[in-house]
Amino acid sequence: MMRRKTTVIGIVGDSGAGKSTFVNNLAQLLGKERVTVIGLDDYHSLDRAQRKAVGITPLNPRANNLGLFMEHIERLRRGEKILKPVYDHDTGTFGEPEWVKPREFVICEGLHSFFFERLGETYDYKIYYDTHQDLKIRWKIQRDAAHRGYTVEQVLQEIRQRQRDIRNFVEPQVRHADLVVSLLPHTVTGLSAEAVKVRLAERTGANDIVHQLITLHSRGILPCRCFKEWYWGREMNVVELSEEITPPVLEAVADALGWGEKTEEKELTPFGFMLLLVARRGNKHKSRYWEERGYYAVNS
Amino acid sequence: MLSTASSVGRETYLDLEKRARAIRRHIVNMIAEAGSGHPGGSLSAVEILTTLYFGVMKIDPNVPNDPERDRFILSKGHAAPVLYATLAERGYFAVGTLSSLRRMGSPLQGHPDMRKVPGVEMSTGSLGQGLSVGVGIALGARLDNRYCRVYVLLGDGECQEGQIWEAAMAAGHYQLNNLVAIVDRNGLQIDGSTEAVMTLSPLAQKWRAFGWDVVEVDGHSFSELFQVLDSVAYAHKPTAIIARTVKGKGVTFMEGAVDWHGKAPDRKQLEKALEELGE
Repeated sequence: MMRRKTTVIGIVGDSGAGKSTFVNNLAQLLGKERVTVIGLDDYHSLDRAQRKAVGITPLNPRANNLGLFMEHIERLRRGEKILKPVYDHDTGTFGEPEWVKPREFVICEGLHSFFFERLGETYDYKIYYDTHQDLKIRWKIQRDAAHRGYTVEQVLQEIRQRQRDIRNFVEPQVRHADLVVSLLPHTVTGLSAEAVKVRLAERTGANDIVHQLITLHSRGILPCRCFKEWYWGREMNVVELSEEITPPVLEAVADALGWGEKTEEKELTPFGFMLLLVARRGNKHKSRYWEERGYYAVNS
Repeated sequence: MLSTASSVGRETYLDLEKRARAIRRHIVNMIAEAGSGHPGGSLSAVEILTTLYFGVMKIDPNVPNDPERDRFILSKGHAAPVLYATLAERGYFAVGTLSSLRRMGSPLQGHPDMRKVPGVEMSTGSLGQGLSVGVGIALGARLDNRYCRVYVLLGDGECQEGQIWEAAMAAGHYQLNNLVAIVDRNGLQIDGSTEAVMTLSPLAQKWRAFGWDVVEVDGHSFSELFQVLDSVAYAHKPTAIIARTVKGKGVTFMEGAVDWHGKAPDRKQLEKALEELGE
């Protein structure tokens, strides 16, 4: 009997860090019709006015109904539908809840996706998505100062305030992540302001994406920088991608990793390359996870 | 208090345990090499510094003067070996430098010098002053709207100094929730048991009376240290962590022995210590 099961990917990252772009692109690569995206912002327990009255920001876990989220994610995992609350960012209030059905992939993205250890165990793959403060400032100034009439000082002030809460309430989740993705500004001059470096980190000893990239680097296939760094008490292998990935390099990578099918023919930015890696990882993980448990891999 | 995701799998602590072992080896090695130094109080604080430097502190060894960095002040400056060993392992300077401890011209003096060693936030050694500076940095960070935290490690014997309590009073008054004082409660000081020299207990109540949140933990347990340091995120007051430790932890003949407060091991003792610590 064919059974369809759901692969749950958890993503933690700040809003304004390009996380939605990341999630949308990832969904695109996995196939939009195969993906259900759950945003944790819908699980706020207090609306904007209430948060103001209590004096906490949405980054504080207490402003969120993580218990309900925990219940929902387990239902989704089992393939059941949920009645998900809806939070409206424009008005800062709650709308009508809606029914959501899990597809092959469920991506849960938000500030506290694996806040509890038990929550963390529910996922097949956990990504911590981090953007350097300078990039957040740059992007936010472009958006808010250019189009919404804020002064640069106001934007900076807001980001600093936010950074405090990120550090207190969001960053500790790094320790549960399978993969840490960091976006950093390019320090080389002469590049466009949009250029970013991408760092991928995973635990030393994990035989996964970063390990593969390090192997490719040592074989002279992939131009990148490899080193070790500490993240919340874990020693991680880090690969820093700062160069464009040209089609020949991509082809060599695809060959070495046994991707088989045809890959992109244009140059990929480090960001685009990272997306491709994560999407492949999601697919691969899916089949392995369920095959180990006696299920067929099903393509819809 | 929400129970946060602070309990990490044991797998995670393996990295830290390995690092703590390396730091202990450095400590006994460098003190033996120098022929003098303070192994007891250095060894008792290893897990505390390891958790801070490899776990919770926001630091970049490549940018030791980043204004946004978290600060660590070793108020019990005579435990310099544990600070040097941790900084070296974290990448602030070469591990090879450690063997120059207490030599003429070496940056690694018997007590830490902030002008000579990258990563040292305050020159300490004269006991009782670290918390006052910590209060100043924490207050300054608040005024500058920086989100950094300040951690101060105090000896328990050091808490007999009056200046500690002036600083504690100020921190309580300003409700410095970005300040964390950690008391290395190994129960011994140079002249014997702290309770025999000048009674400290009830230590927790004392801190509490000065307006601090107080938590007592096992100072050699990574999971307990992580848990309490995570909870600082929710603090409205300064946090005092009373870390129960064993002086000389890790080397059996030094454990709980007053005479290892400030004495260097000889060659034979060093060999025995290294053998016990393992790779």
